[in-house]
Amino acid sequence: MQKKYKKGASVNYTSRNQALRKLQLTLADFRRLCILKGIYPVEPKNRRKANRGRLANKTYYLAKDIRFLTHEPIIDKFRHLKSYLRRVTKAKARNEKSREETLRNNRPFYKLDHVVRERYPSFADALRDLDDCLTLIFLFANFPLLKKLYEPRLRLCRRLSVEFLHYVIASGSIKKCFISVKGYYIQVEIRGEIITWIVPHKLGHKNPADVDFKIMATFLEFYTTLLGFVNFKLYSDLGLIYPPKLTFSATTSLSTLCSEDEFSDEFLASLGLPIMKKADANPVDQVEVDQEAAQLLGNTEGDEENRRKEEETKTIQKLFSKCKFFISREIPREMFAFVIRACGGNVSWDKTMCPGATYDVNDESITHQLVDRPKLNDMIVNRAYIQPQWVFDSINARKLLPVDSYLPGSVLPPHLSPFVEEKEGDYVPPERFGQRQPDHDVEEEITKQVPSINLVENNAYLNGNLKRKRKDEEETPVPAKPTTKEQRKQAMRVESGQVQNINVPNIVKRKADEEKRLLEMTIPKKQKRLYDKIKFSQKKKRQEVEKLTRKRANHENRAKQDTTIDKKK
Amino acid sequence: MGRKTAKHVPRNQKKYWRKISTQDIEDRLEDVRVQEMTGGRRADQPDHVLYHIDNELPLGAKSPSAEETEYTAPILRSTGKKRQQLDLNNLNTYKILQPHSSVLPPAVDARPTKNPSSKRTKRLVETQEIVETRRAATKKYQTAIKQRSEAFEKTALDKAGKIELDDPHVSQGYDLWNMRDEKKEKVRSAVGSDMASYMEQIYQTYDWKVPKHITKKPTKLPAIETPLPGTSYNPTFDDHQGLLQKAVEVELEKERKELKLLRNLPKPLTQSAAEPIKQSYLKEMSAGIFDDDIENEQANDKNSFFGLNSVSIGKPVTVDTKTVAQRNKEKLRKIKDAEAKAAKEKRIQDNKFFRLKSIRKEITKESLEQQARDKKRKIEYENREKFGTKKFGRYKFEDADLDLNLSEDITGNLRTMKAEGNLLHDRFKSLQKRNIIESRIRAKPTKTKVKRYEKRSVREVGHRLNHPGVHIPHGVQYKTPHNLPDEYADHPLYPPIRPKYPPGSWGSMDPKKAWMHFELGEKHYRHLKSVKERLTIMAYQNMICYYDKLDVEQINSKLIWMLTGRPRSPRSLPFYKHITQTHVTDELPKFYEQMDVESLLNYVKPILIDRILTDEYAQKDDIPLEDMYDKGDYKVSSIMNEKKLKIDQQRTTNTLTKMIRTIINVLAEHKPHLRQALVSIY
Repeated sequence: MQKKYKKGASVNYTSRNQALRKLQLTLADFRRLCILKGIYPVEPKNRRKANRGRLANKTYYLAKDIRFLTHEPIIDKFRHLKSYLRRVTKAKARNEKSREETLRNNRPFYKLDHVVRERYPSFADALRDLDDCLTLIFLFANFPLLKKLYEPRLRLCRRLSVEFLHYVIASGSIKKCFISVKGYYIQVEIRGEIITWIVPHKLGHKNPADVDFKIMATFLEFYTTLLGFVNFKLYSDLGLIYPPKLTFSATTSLSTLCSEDEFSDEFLASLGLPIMKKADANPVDQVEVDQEAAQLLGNTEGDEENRRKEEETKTIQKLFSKCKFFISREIPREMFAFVIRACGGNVSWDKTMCPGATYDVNDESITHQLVDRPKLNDMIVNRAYIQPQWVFDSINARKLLPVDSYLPGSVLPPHLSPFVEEKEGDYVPPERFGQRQPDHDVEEEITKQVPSINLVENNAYLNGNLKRKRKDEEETPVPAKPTTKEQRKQAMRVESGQVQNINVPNIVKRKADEEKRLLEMTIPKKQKRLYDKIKFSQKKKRQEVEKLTRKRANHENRAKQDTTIDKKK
Repeated sequence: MGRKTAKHVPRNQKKYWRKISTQDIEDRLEDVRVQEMTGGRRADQPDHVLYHIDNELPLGAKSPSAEETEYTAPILRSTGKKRQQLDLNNLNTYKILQPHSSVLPPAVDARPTKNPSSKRTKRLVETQEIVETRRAATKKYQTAIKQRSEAFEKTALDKAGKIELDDPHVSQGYDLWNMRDEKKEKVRSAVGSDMASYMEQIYQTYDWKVPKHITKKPTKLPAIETPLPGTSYNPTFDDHQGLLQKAVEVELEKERKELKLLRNLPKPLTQSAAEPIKQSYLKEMSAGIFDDDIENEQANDKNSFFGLNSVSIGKPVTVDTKTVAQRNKEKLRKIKDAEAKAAKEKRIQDNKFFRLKSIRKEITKESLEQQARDKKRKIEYENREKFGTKKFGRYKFEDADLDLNLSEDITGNLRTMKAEGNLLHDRFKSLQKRNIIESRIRAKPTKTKVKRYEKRSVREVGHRLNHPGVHIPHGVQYKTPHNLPDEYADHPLYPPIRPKYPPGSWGSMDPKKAWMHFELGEKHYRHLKSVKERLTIMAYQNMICYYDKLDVEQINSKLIWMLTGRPRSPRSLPFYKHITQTHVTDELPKFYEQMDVESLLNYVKPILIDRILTDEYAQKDDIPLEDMYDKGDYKVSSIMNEKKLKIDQQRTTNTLTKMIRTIINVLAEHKPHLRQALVSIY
């Protein structure tokens, strides 16, 4: 007979205390190890079975995971660290200064390289998990130096975050940005992976009481290692020099805000200047590669989508290429400098605000000046003074919006979230994405551009269609048949032949419609009902949208009239 | 060598003799015997009978040439030839060292060898040695310098590297995902994959197999949830209202849960419901205190007098018996009921047969419903598995509040915007929500336990001993106040709380000090009944000078206390007055008025004058010689003055002592007690 608790859940799960005993670690060390290795607790389906018939509230882990952890070399390092701490405290208590120093210089440390490799077998995996990593690192990069935080790690965070931002600028992969009350949401697309992260507002920092700092610091430890490797890989794939270097060497004449050895770092961190590329670089354009692969595989459906996407990226990359910005002092400089540079713009700021300013306020070529104060005293004529929201809205709209409603002191139009995605057929208010033209308009434009094709040059496939079409034409437009001979005579006439113009897209569309109708007919009765339901709901939605658009148009017309009347008065 | 025989064996016996083995002699004899039997003694026989030269070649060897046979000739030494002298210059050991290659060495040193014993070579060698040591020293010095500079450079570089990298423990200078273990690959190419894997196992250098699920996420929830449009710093009205609505819903849900909890708890009593309980409580507690109870009792007594003291409450129990007819009737009715019931059941069952179709319908309907329910449950379960937050351990995850700006906080301007929420907190909660870490509640810092013990002095206070917490060690008898009851007394037994200051006016004295003085007074003075006793004690306690007895005189039926000496603590006269309950008299006692001072003075005066004069005369020689001849040129005036002052002072004291002594001596003729007086002038 099988003994109880020798098989199944009671063996597959290990409680936390059991795991501690097995690994001979303290709870704090175990927590750290689990976070570093990516071992998460599990909830057994049946707690009673997992705990030998008892129903205690325990934290469980998979026994396999714990067995996996036993092989981890970091555990040994933890033990070294423990004894190191003991030695240091002893030396300190005995007031043995030199011994303490030697101990401190030989502090044991562990590397997480293998763990990163283990948890992210491919680079794409690492990119997929970058959301958390970036948010935490940007958060800690903006932290003040607290006593409970390891200071070099904070500086590392700062460095890594700057490096990543530089990569985004160099690759032009920004997609969306949004100012929320929580922070700046930024979305980029790197190698087809969408990465979103939050950058906190640079306001006063307050320590939340119920957050375990130790745990967050451990996450940070792992994420710094991860982002370091990711940055290296991204840089080297794009043909950039890593660690990033500016294209020129900074000199003391540029700024008096920092000392000479801090220059390169400070100028890098200001994000205002481009970074160096490798001399023999031929970066791999991932999009092109993807397209080629798609063509080879015969995947033409995704082709159009890809082309559209690529075009969009190109527009974003060149959005501000003709603009020259100047950021006033009251604006969070770093974020705006990054966003503008990521879209190909030039940016500068007051020399006293931050090092890395490239031109002055009085520069004639400045096109836009970001201002966030109600009143300005001296303004220069040939530039637009705008509130900072314009930058974010323009990026989300993928075009330069008119600056009229963003003038300083004016009430701004609402800042809409680009993360709200309308489904097909939803009502899109014209404010969204700055009056982005609806899809059908775009289609019309395309149809206009397509030149009409000569009948003779067309292939047989189109001919077939044409014949049917001609029949239709014959049937419909003729009002009455000629009855009398004279009339017939009059009607009988030979005219010079004309090249008939046909609209190819129309034909294609009709063909598609027909096919669709035929398909609809083949749907079995049971599913037909569902299909009808869906169709009905879509129709209702369309009606709703039409109603809303009509309402809106009316409202706007009325508003226009009102304004004209006011003007007349 | 010790003997093997035991010590106690007597030495005159044969037993004590030394035992020697004769085995070798026996063997020899035996051998000889055998030799004689087999053809005579070997020693007597010639060599050629015993030995023969083995000329046969070993198997497969060539027959030796003539030279070799010649060469091998010396081996036959047994023929009596003299042994050749050893050629020391031609030893085999040296031969081995000779170059045996047919190829000549590249160069041969043609220089003549030096005679090692000559003076010149010796000198040369010495100089060589000196040069070498010097060279070694310089080399050592140079390498030391080089190493030092290298080390310095290295540390500097390390430091620079540290500054550059911020964290030296983080290495990020290589492509992690494109890395190849070159060492391993080399081994693999050299020995083949099987052998390589075996070696990896031996040296434990193989990569551990990583469980597949480690790369999977515990939930499908995104790390960064898409922001709601209402959280924009400048949202549209509708979006913001939507966000507020969401927040309100969350709050309502919380409230609903709280209410549910409250409903399930036992209700607290309302004011009106608690009133009767309060009254009855009062009544119960005050039972037997007031007189009206006695009146009631008296009334009760009266009632009992009338015979109304019934014990039972409620109706009296009466016993009815049923008749036989009644029992029969009941039985019949029971039977009839059972029959009717059975008939009804049968009818229903029969009818069901005709209802087969509808029953089948019902069953199918039920099963369909069941299926739908199962499906729904399954979907819910899957959703929970994918998106739900699991419960690890004791605490359930509680979602953070929504971060939102209230309507009045929205300024529509980036500069004046009000930021909400803490990103760190948000991250922490997100990790918990995504089942990455368990939700915990911050533990309160544990207080270190304070060991409490009672001082001996406190322990010895008697009435605290009755306190249940006090431990009395076995065998020690403490005095307990006999009047204390066993359990609870009517009034508390704690020592009374004393006022801040003891009775009397104490000014701004420290209360503790005041109490100390008071207690001292109580202890030393209050319990003494007579004033004399008190004064005596006080004199002993507080006077610098003390006497064996105090002078007390009764003058005009009043006791006069002669207090001599100073009190130890200044300004304590009121205290003494209070303690001793005495007062200080203003005038001298009458006794002094009657004294004849004039005659005494006349008697003493000439003696005193005489005395002083003799003193003056005697002390004149005291002036030092230098001072006598001082012209004031080289002496500092201040030093002079000081010296003079000192001399003056000494003279006065001398004179005064002598005067007082004289007076006492003179007066002691009539009053002998004066001889006991102590005199001190300082």
